[in-house]
Order: sequence, then structure tokens, then C-alpha cells
Amino acid sequence: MLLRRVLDALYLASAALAAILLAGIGVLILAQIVGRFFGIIVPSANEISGFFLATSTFLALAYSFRAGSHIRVTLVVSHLPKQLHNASVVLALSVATVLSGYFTFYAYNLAAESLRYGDLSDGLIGVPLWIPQSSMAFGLVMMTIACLDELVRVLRGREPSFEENTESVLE
Amino acid sequence: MDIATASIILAIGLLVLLAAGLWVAIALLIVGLAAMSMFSSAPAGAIMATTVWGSISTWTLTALPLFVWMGEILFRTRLSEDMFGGLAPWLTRLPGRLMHVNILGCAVFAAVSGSSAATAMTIGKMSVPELSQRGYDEKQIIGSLAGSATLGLLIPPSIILIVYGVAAEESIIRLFIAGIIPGILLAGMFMGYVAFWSMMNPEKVPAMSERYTLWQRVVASRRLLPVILLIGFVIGSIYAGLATATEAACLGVVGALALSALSRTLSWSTFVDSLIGATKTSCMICFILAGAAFLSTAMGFTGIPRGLAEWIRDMQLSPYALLAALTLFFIVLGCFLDGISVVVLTVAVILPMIEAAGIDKLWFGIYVVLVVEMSQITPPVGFNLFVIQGLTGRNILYVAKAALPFFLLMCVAVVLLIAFPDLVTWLPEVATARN
Repeated sequence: MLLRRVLDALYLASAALAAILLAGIGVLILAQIVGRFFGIIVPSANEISGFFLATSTFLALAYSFRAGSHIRVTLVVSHLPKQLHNASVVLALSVATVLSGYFTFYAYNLAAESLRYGDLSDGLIGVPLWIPQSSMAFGLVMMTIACLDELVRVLRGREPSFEENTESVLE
Repeated sequence: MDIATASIILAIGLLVLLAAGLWVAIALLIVGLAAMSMFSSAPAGAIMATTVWGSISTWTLTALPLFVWMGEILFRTRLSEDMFGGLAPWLTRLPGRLMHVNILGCAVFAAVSGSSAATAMTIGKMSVPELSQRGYDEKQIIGSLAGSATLGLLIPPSIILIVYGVAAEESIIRLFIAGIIPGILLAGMFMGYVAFWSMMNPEKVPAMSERYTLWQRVVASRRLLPVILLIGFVIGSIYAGLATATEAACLGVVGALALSALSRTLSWSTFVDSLIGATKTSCMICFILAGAAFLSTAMGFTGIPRGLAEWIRDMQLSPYALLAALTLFFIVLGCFLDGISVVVLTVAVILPMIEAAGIDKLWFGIYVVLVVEMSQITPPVGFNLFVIQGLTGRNILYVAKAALPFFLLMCVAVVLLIAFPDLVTWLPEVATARN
């Protein structure tokens, strides 16, 4: 199915970008350390590495959510009978979808306001704040889609990906 | 609505959301929203967006993904085999012999990794088969592994101390330095117990099979050299005041990559795997931290933490009674929640109470982490139990029972920290005074 392929590619591409940004934090800090020896200052390295981290976090959200990396307490629900268990997953996913949607709206507002008022970051290079902030909005859009995606999947009677993929070491 | 009723409603709400299988970060955000809408007319959604953004896009937190990455790289090297080969020759004469490899191996690995699950996996993968092949008592192998792997949380670098430092606005460097002595103390207590147990149960310890001359030991030790250099590099640069926590983490990543290249385990695929693994883990932790940051802000609007603090002050509890109550509370909480969630909730709700009781924030950080360590090996939710269950195929109740003596030793360690707070505060003071 085309939609399936597009979604999976989107999740993966965001995660790949998130991973590159995480490595980017390392490169930036390393440049700062090496630069200090030669008396070169990497401008705004601290602020930008903070933005890299936030951007990486939000871009990886949907992918890691589906991969089962996000912690939840399954102690109670795992002991429920099958039907009730499924109902609890549907409920949890619905709540997660609504919250992500709500959050997306305000994240978008935050970035839009930074753009309107031309807010800049502190430091030598004033980065327009809307650029990193829109990653939060984008990541949350992806997260909302991922929650919805899972919800549809569970309603169709399949196991949610976060349970299938859980990197648990349990047998 | 008065504060007491509201706190109870919110606490129950949080428990229900968590028990329903909602993701921890999302549950924290929802409770934060509920708290704000109950107590103030401030725009909850907008404040949520600002707080979350502000809490993750900070430079202090960047040490976290880098230390996570460093651990992921080392996990994919042959470090654990080298540690076994290098440590074993020195331990054959101690009562308990190679059982101490578990404890020392965990302590050493903890000094390059920030997580206890990674420590349990890395060391256990090597030590469990080696030790059981040589006929050591299975229960002791599993118990000592479960107990000592929790050192990953206390011995710097420690992911959970970064989380506490960021959330409580306490210096991460000082927290790291403060964790050193309690970590060594705990490792020492574990080794003492294993030695004592082995003398009591000599029939359960296999006879000395390998004998080494001093020279052979020294030669074998060269396998420890890379990891010792890495520890010196990372912790040394922090302690000497040469590097910030983030810079030390970055040096750690470079060092881990070098070590991985030297041991010929570095390839494109291990590199990518380690990076993706780090991205996922750091995303998970940052998201929880963001949820907790918003909950803290929302709590500020409700006045609940302030109310709790006043309540504690009015009760005129001694700090000891307060800590005793909290320890019990944390152990119970830790049975159901993971360590990071416990720490962030603590900071959101309990920290004002602690400050009102006149307890040092730095000391409290180490104390919380030690208690969280204990919760890692208590059923039904204990991360280390899960990891070791997967590793050994023994069920978690068996593992928990095997780990019980080590749990009790940690209780003793908590009492020691309370009785002698200098164990925590002395080293950071010396280090700060010098720089």
C-alpha cells in the first residue's frame, strides 16, 4: 500500500535526521574543544547544540514510539484478559492521539509567534527561533500521525508495533 | 478546591493514567494540564509548549545523548572480554575468587557508562557463562550481577544524575564527583559480602584452577589499559575541572570510538546501530524530562509543593524521620515506576519539601539515586531484573531473591549516607575548592 510505504519512509527519514543531529552535537562540541587549543571560538556552539538536541528529540519521537522505546507501565494491563487488554491499548492510543494533536497546535503557535516577532536566540549568532521550534511542531505532527496509525492498526485487530518491536530482552 | 483534595485527585489521576498503560511522558503532560486548568486561568497549552521547548533545548542536557551514545558504542565492543581477562588473574586468591569479577567489572564499566541496564548486559553477557562454566554458585552469580550493575547509576558518568541535575538545577559536575565515594563504598560492601559468603560456604566455590605468577598478572592487565585510559580521560577531565560534563561526554564518545576501532569492532553497521540506539534512548529520556518540566511548572501554579513543604515544616519532623518516610515511599514507588520517572517526579513535587527540611540538594540527589538503584532490583518492575531475566532465562522472582542480600546492603548504604553525609559532600567540596 502506498500510504503505508510513505508513512514508514517518513518515520525512518525523520529518525535518520535525528540521528545525524545527535552526532552533530558531538561534532560541534568536539570542534569547540579542538578550537580552544588554537584560540578559535566556535560561535554559539552551546545554543546550537541545545537546538540540535531538541530537534533530534522531536524528530525521533514517532520512530522511537513505534519501536517501543518509550516507557510505559504494562504491569496492570498485561494481566487483563485479551479483550480488555485490547480495549486498554485503544484507550491509551486515543488519549495519546488527542494529547499529541493538542500539543501540536500549541507547538505550531509557538513557532509561528517566534516568526511573527522575529525572536532570535542568545549568543553570537542569533538563530531565528522559529527554525528550531518548527521541528517541535513537525515532530509532534509525526507523533500524532504515528498514534493514529497505531490506533487504526489495533482497531483492525493487529498487534501494536510498539509491543511487537519492544526491545525487551524477555523471551 | 483546597490543596489537599486537589493533590489527592491529581495523584490518583496520575496513577490511573500510568496503570492504564499510558506512556510516562504523556501521563505527566496530561496531569500537568489538568493541574493548571484546576488552579489557574493561565493558558495551559501555550505554557506547555514553552516549558517543553525550554527544558529540552538547553546546553546542560546535551551531555545526556553523548553519554548514552558512548555506552552504546562500548556495548558493541569486546570490552567485557578484555575486562574478564584482565581482572581475573588478580582475583584468584580472594575468597570468592572470580565472583568478584562481576562486581569490579560492573564498577569499572559503570565508570564509562551511565546506565545500569547497559552495565548488566555488557558484564553479564561475559561473566555469567564464564562463571557458571567454572562451577560458581548460580544464585550468587546472578545476585551479585544484579546488585553491582546498579552501580551504573551512581558511579559517574550517570544518565540519571544528569536528569536530576537538569531538573533540580544542580551542577552536574558536582553531582558526578559526589557519586564517586558512595559508588566505591557500595562496590566495597558488595565485595566484602561475597568474600564473607564464600568463607561461610566454601563448598560452593570451585577450587583455584588457574595459578598466575605476578608477571602473568601484569601482562594480563594490559587488556585493562584501554578502559582505564578511557575512565581517566572522562572522569579525570571532569574532576580536574578541565572539561564541562558535555565536553567530557564528547571526549568519551571519541575515546569509545577509538577503543572500538582498536579492538576491530568498529564498522559502519555497529556505528549506525549505536547512533540509532542512542537517538531512541535519548529521545525517550528527554521526552520524559520535558513532561516532568511541564508538570513542575504546573505544580508551581497549584501551590501543592509549597503546601506539602509547609505541612512538613508544621509537623516538625526531624530530617531523619522525613528521610525514613521518603525511603519507604521511594522503594514502593520504584516497584512500579522506572528510575528516571521517579527522579523527575521527585523534583517536581518533593524538592521544595526537602529544602524546607534543610536537606542539601546535592546530597539528596545522590540519596535519591541510591534509593532508585535499590528499586532496580525489586519486583515487579525492576529494570535490572528484566535485563538479567532475559540474559539468564531465570524468572524475575528468582533473580530478585538472589539479589536480596545486595538490596539489604544498599539499605545499609543509605543509612551510612544519612549518618555520614560527608561521604557525599566532601569530595565535591575539595574539588571545587581546588579549582
